[in-house]
Amino acid sequence: MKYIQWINNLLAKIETTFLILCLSTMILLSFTQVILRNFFSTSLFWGDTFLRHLVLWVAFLGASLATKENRHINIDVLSRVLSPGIKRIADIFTNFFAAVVSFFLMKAAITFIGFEKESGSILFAGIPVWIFQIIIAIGFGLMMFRFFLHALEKLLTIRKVKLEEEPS
Amino acid sequence: KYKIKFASLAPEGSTWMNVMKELDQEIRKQTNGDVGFRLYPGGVAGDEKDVLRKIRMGQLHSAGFTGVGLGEILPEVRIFDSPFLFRNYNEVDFIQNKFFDKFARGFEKEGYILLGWADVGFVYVYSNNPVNKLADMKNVKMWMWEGDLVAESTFKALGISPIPLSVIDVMTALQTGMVDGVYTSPLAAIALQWFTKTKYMMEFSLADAAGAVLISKKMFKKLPEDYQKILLETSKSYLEKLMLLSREENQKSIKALKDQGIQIVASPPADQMKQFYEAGKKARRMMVPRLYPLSLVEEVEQALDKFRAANER
Amino acid sequence: MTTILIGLTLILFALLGAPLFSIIAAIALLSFHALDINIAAVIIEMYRLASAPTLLAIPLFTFAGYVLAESQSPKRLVNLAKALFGWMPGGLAIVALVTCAFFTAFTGASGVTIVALGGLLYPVLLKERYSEKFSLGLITSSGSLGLLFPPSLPIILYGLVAKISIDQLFLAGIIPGFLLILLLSFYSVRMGIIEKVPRTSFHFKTLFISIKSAIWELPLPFLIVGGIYGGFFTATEAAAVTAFYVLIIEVFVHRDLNFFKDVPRIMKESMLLVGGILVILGTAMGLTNYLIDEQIPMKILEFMSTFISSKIVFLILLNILLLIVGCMMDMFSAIIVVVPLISPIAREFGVDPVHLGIIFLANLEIGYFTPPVGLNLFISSFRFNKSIIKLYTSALPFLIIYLIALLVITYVPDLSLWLVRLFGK
Ligand code: NA
Ligand code: NA
Repeated sequence: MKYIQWINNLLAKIETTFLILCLSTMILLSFTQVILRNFFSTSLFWGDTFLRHLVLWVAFLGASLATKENRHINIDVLSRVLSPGIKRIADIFTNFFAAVVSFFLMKAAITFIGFEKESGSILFAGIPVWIFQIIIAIGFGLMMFRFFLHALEKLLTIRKVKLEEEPS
Repeated sequence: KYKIKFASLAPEGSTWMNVMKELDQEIRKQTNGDVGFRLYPGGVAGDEKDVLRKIRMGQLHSAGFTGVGLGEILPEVRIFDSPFLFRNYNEVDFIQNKFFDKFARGFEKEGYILLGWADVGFVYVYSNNPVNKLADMKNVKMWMWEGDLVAESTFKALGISPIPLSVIDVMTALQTGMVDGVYTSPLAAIALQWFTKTKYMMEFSLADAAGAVLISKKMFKKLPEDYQKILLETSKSYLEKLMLLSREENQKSIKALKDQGIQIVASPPADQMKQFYEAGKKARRMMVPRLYPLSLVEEVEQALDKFRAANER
Repeated sequence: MTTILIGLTLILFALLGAPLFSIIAAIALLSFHALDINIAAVIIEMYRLASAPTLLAIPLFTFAGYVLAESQSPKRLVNLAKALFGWMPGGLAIVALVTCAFFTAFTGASGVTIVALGGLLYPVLLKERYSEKFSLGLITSSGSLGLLFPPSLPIILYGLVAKISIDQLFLAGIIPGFLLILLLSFYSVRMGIIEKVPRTSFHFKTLFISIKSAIWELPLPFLIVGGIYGGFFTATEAAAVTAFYVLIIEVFVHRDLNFFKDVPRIMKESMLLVGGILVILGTAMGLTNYLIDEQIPMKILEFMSTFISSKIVFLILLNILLLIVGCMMDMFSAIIVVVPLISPIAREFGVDPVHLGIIFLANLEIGYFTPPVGLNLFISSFRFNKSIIKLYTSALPFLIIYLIALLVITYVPDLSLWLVRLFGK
C-alpha cells in the first residue's frame, strides 16, 4: 500500500507539472495571438487548434488530480444521513463503480484513438492528431487507478476499525 | 432491412434535405422497402470531422460533405476548391465528370463509395469596401476559415493576411469590425446572415466550393448487388438534380441579396482578371505536395484550357 | 425489467455520492452497448471538447477568477462597492447581479461566470453580512443571467439555427433581460432590509480613497468590453487578456501573490474545477450523441404535438420541456438539436419566431440552476464547497422569481417584440 501511495504521489507530481505547463502555455500563446494580430497583423496559423487541444489536456489532467483529492462533482444526498460505518461501505461501492466506468471509458478511448491513428489525420505541422487525443485514455486510466485506490483504502480502514473494536 | 444513417449540415426543410427525402422514397420504392435512409440534418450529428469519425466507427454510414470533410479523406479533391479555377458551371461539370472515376477510385481505396458530386456552388467575397482589382483586396480585413489550408494558400497568393476564426465567431467579428470581409456562397451568406453586416459582393467569384455524398464501403458491401446498383444509379441522378436546383437557388439568392441592398461589384477588367487567375495558379502550386501532386494540377489546368479553347471556337 | 433495475442502481449510486460524470458515462456506455454501437462513440463527442472554440474561455476565466479571489482584490473592490452603494439597501447585491449579467453576455458559456466572478463576489457578499443562503443563491442563479443581452453567443447561435434575424433577437432580449434584473434587484433590496445588512453613508473622500486603491482592477471591465466591441479580440481571447492582465497586476503590481509560491498552487487548484466540469460536459455530450442517434428529442416532440390543441397549452408544455432540456443538455447542443424541432410547431400555433427565441433562451437560462440536476448548482457546490442540498434550498427563492419572469416573458409577447417593432425592419 505504501508503495502504491508513493507511485500515486509521484504521478500526481508529474501531472501537476504538466498541468501548470499546459495552462501557462495556454495563457501566453492566446495572449500572443491577440498581440500578433492587432500589432503585426499576422497570427500563428496552428495557434488556435493547438490551444483548443490544450483545453483537452488541462481538462483530463485536472479531472485526474480531482480524483486523487476526492473532489469530483457529485450529488451526495444520501451519504449525509448515513452512519459513518455504512457511509464507508457506500464509499467503497461508489469508488469501485467509478473505477469500473473509468475502465470502460479508457477502453473506449483506446479504440477511438486506434481509429484516429488509422485514419492518419494530421493536426498541424505534420503532428498526427492522435498524439493530442491520447490524454483522454491516459486521463481515464489514471482516474480508474485512483478510484480503485480509494475503494481499497476504505476497505482497509474498515478492517482496521473492526480490529480496533474487537478487543473491547 | 438496410437502414443507411445519413448526416448533413444542411438544415431540415432545405432543398438539400428535400432532395434527400425524395431519394429515400425512390430507393425504398425500387427496393421494396428493403433499403432506406435515416436522416440527421442540420448538423445535429456534429461537424464534418465528427461525422467522419462516426462513419469510421460504424455509427453513421453516409453523409453529404463539403471540401473540408472530403479533404480529410482524400486531400486531392481539394483541387476543386482552389481559387479562380472555374469560370462557369459548364467548366465545373466538365471537369467533375471527367475526374469522377479517378476520384471514385481514390475514395474507394480510403473506404468510401462516391455516390455523386453535390457542390456547394460558386463562392463570392462580401466586404465593406468594394473590391474589383487585386490591390483592393489589401483594404479588406478578411476572415479565413481557421485551419483551412486552401483558404490560407489562397489569401497568401493574393498577398493578404486573413484573420482565422471559427464560423461561429464570424458574425460577432463582423459586428465589431474585427473582420470586414468574408467569403461564402450566396445561399449561405443569407442563411448565416453575414450579408446584414456587409455592403458589397464581388461578382467575380473566388472559387467553386466542392461537395459530394459518400457512403462507407462497409455499409455498401452489406447490400445485395442489385441494390448496390440501384443505390448508385438513383443517387447519381438525384444528386445531379440537386446540383441544378442548388445552382438555381444560389442565383435566386444573389437577387435576394441585391434586394436587401447589397451592391454587386462588377467583374474586374481583363488585365486585372488575369492577375487573379495568376494568383490562383500560384495558390494551387503552394499546396503541392501537401494536398496533391503537381501532375494533378497540370492535368486539371490543361484539361480546362482545352475545354475553353474548344468552346471558343 | 433489467433496464429498470440498472436505472435504480445508478440512481442509488448517484445519491450515495458517485461522481456525476461516472453516472452519466455509465448511462451513455450502456445505451450504446445496447444498440450494438461501439462504445468509442462516447469518446467522439468527448473529443469535441477540443473543437468548440468557446470552451477555451473556461480554463482562462476560471484561472483569472481564482487569482483575483486569492489576492486582496476582493477587499479593495468591497471597499469601492461599499463607498458607491453602501448607502442603499441591497446595494452590493445589485452590483453583483449587474456584473454577472454583463459578464455572462460576453462569455456565453454557463458556469464560467460562477467560477470567475462568483469566487470573487461570494466572499465580498459574506463580508458585507449578507446571509450565506442568499449569497449562494444569488451567485448561482446569476451564473446564467445576461444570456439575453448582446453579444451573447447563444442568441447568435439561435438566430442561425432558427433562421431569424440575430439583430432582431438582440433587440428582443433587452427588455426581458432587464425585467429579470429588475425583479432580482427588488428581491435583493428586500433581503438587504430583512437581513439588516449594515449601511454606510456616502462620502466623496472614502470613495476617492477606494477608487485609488482599486485603480488597477477598475480598467478590467473596460478592457474586456472595449476589446470585444472594438473588434480587437473575440470573447474567447478576452479570457486570455483577462488572465494575463490579472496575473500581472496581482503578482507584479500589487504583489499580493508570489509568482513561484502562489501561482502554481492557484493554477492547480483552479484546474481541478475545470477538469471536474469538463469531464461532466464531455460525458453529457456523449449521452447527447445517443439521444440524437435514437432521435429521442424528435420522438418526444412528435408525441407532444399530437396532444396539443391550444397555444396556451403548447406554451406551458414548451416551458416544462425546455426546463428539462436546460437541465440536461449543454446550451449549444440544446439549440442545435431542439430548435429545428420546435420552431415549426410553434409557428403553427402562431408564436412569433423572435418571441419563441427569447422564451427558449430564458428557459435554458433557468434550467441551468433548476434542481436536481442543473449544472450550475454543481459548479457552485464545488466552487464554494457547500453541499448540493444547501444549494437547492438557496436557489429556490431565486428560481421562483425567475419563473415569474418567465411567465411574464412567455405570455406577454410585446415585452420581447416592442423594441423589434420600434427599430425593426
Ligand atoms: Na452563460
Ligand atoms: Na444545461
